[in-house]
Amino acid sequence: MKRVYLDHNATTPIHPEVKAAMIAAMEVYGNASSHHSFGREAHTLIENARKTVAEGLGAEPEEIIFTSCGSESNNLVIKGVTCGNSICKIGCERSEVIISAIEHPSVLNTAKCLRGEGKTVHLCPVDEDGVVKLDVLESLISERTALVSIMYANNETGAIQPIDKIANLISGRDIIFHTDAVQAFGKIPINVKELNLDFLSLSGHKIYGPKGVGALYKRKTRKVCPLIHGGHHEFNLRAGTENTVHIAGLGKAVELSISDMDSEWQRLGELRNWFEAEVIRRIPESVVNGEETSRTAHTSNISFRYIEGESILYDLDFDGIAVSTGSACSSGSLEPSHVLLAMGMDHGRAHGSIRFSLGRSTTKEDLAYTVDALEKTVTRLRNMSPLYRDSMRKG
Amino acid sequence: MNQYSEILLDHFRNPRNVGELPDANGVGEVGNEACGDIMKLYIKVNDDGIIEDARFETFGCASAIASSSIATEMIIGKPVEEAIHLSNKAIADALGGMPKHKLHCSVLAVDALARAVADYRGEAVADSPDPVICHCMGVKKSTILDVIEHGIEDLDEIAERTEAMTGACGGERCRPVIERMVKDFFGDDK
Repeated sequence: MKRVYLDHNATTPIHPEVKAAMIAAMEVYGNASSHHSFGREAHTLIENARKTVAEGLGAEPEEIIFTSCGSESNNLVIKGVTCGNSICKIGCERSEVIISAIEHPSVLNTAKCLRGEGKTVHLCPVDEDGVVKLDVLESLISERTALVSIMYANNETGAIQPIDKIANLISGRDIIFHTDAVQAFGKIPINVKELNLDFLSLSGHKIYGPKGVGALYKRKTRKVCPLIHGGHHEFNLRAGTENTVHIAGLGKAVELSISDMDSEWQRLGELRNWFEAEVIRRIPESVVNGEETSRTAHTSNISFRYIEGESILYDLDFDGIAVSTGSACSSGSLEPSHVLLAMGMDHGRAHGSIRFSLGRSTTKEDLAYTVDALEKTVTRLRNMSPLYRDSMRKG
Repeated sequence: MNQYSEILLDHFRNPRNVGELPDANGVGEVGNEACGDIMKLYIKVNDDGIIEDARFETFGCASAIASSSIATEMIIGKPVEEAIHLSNKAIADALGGMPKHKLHCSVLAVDALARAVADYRGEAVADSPDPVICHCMGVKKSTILDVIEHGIEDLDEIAERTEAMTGACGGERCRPVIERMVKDFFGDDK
């Protein structure tokens, strides 16, 4: 059976060159902290990867901390600048943190956790296209603000946030500014110096690298308290013998994604736009979520009225097509996607949402196959739905 | 990981008895769009009190569709008096088991059936003597009352004994109701 993977925002397959780099790195077993030649070989691999990641961000190598994933990077910043015994004065002395309402759970729940430590956490709302409301954000910023953490691009809708404008709002106030760029890095050119960022999180497995490795950019002048205490690894900020193999894989993944960034953006954007136009043309009462704003080129979030997303997901799975949904029923929670609800969407539309995220391997044939299957699925499920029958009666 | 059994997936992909039943003499609809599932069950009961035919229409996830489908199969040909005793557990078992956070779907099917039968009998549904309190796990009022009446007033212990408040919503919906039941029984004076 044909299989079509359209869930690249969840994770991506490992690029063959990344795999080769990792296999080569497996031969290097020295501990990067050791002074002998075995250790130096590992150290060189890691430092080369650090240089590559730094170059990809316009940062200095000593501003890159390797972590185990994007979630760890997010935790490290949010907890590390507010932890109370931190060397970071701003984070500890000021009482408020601002994040957006559409953050990834690894920011959302980490920030909410700070409430237990007496911090006030503001959730900045977004507009109907899923973009942070700058006027509200501005009104939330005060002399009490320790940290502003706003994601670069949203994982569910692809909506790109106005990070440059937010940087301007913050500028000159000595507020710590972090962005979770897990969905944007390697897809959108990012220069941390031009954007005046203090911290940026990224992850390997979203850019055809391995799972289990991420990085945090930390501006040289900013301080952070480690989550994992121990040895001197990663500038004393992340103890534990370095994961040489995965770090080498991350370095290769960054190199490849930066070199293909422009052409992939162009190619995937055209494919995505064609796909959306086809879906809208062939399937009545389908609506693209966040269509009016600039989005990551490979992300498409579409709601199908009168039916529920988990059943769409399973039905497409029978045709070998992999997607994800913002419906509550797939996550086991009561509420559908917090991102879609934050955009002011009614529950019904959010329950019927499907995210298609394209990637390197996606072809027009894949998408044509998907549109055919989708049309069948939506028709089948609507014919079972009492909501659809009611809407037909009303005409 | 596949959270669903082969039987369940078969009922989802090839649902039995889908659609409107024009000559139904009992119709029950439960759920709402905001919660992500609506189930409408049609029954046609003959003069001998036998459910001759049943159909369903469902808006919801794969397990909601499968629950409705198998429920129609389980009641067709049965006397109403017997069908009304169909339990959500029987539905879940017939589907080869369901993940805990999906048991709610089997409860929905039982609720839809109860309403369809009430409609057939011309009864008001609100008068159901034993409503489901915990919709996630399908725990009825009588089950919870039984535990309370055995002197249990600790909510955690009630949860442990009845499985109420242990489903997908973590008791978000039924905890206040159960708290009220405890207070009503033991008095409000603490």
